Amino acid sequence: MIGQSALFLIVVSIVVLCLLVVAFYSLRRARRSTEGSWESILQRLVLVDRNGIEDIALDIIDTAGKRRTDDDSFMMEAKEIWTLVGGWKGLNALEANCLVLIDLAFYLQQLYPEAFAVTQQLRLSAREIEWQISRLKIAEKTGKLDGTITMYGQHAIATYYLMTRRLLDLYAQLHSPMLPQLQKVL
Amino acid sequence: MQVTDLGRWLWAAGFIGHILLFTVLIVRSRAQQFPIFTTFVLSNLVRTVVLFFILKFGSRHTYYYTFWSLGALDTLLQFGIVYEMYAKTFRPLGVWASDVRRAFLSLIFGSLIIAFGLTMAAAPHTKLPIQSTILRADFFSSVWMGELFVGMISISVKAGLPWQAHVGRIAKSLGLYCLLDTLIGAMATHFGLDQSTAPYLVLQQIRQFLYLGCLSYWIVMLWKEAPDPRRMSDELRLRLIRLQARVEADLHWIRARHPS
Repeated sequence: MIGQSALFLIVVSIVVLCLLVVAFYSLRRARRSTEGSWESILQRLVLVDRNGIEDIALDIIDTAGKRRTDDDSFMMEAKEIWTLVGGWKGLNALEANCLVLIDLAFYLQQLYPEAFAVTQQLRLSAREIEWQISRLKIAEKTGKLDGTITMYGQHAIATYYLMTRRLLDLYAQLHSPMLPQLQKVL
Repeated sequence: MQVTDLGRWLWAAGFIGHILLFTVLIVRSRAQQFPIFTTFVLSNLVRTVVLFFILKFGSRHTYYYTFWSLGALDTLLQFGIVYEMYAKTFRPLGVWASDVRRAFLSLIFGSLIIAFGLTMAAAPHTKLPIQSTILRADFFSSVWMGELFVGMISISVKAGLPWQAHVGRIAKSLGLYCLLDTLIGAMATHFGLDQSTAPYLVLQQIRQFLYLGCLSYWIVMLWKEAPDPRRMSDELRLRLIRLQARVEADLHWIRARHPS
């Protein structure tokens, strides 16, 4: 039978081991983000229908990113949005791509630390997308997906579209030589 | 009071190590960048000198009283270093990163609960109540600091917040030291001080060796230069500020439509 003291040692050892594992995986991820080539980060982008994304987004926002208030806005039906984005596969791809977009911004941030504020805003946008997609998943479980596609799905897609535009703006503002390559995929 | 040869050697090595580290911090201008860390190093130097003279000319009682008082100051400064590393990581432009505040608060309270829980679970066998308190306090500070450093690494990586090179070096090594010190502290409570002080003294020597390893790492790494970030022209900075404003406006519109 293990004494209380020995049990205490075991528990502490487990806690320390867990903390070391967390630190190890975090540092490994950090190394992947910072030491991987820019091309390797770009390769993680899942291809999505850019034209479809743009059509969905520009139905509710203008090219400057402001919400549209004209009579021709907010015209898309849920079915059309769902088809254009590629359903769950497409939405999951957008969600995954958000992390890549942040890594692409972070790559520049290491050269220009002052770009931190833009990267931070992109991270907040990614959180919004994550939240909106989670609402869609909940709606699907309750059988109310159709009613929420325009509310959350189109919103998430518009947010993603804005993220891509702002990332391209960031690379353009900093005169990054990688901009042409980025424009091809975004 | 008798000090073993190994004890003297460790003491001397630590003193020399701190002198070298302090020199590096001054010569390489790291002191302005890390004032709390520099104060910690300086306090260790002063502590060694003070304790040496008290050991030679003072009483046993004075020595123990000074040792533990300065030890408490040392612990406070270590927490100060934790704050300094957090500030350098999570407020790179002078403002705390807004998107990590919740994670931040969860980390602080969660880690405090775990550290407190483990400390309460410790039951060191000691002759005097004060010895039990000291062992527990020592253990608590190691656990909590270890958790805070690991948490800092995890949150900053998840959030994509870069470390300045030297911040990473100090944080990683001090974090590892705190985690290993946690194990040493746990063993110290296991062996206690009621039957013999020998196990406790051996554990303290192991701790000192680990700390010497840390010192050596800091001396080498803080001497090295960190890669310089590129300097931004004023025009570029202005364009970036405008871009940041546009991105913020996007987020404001998104939030206004769907408050989370």
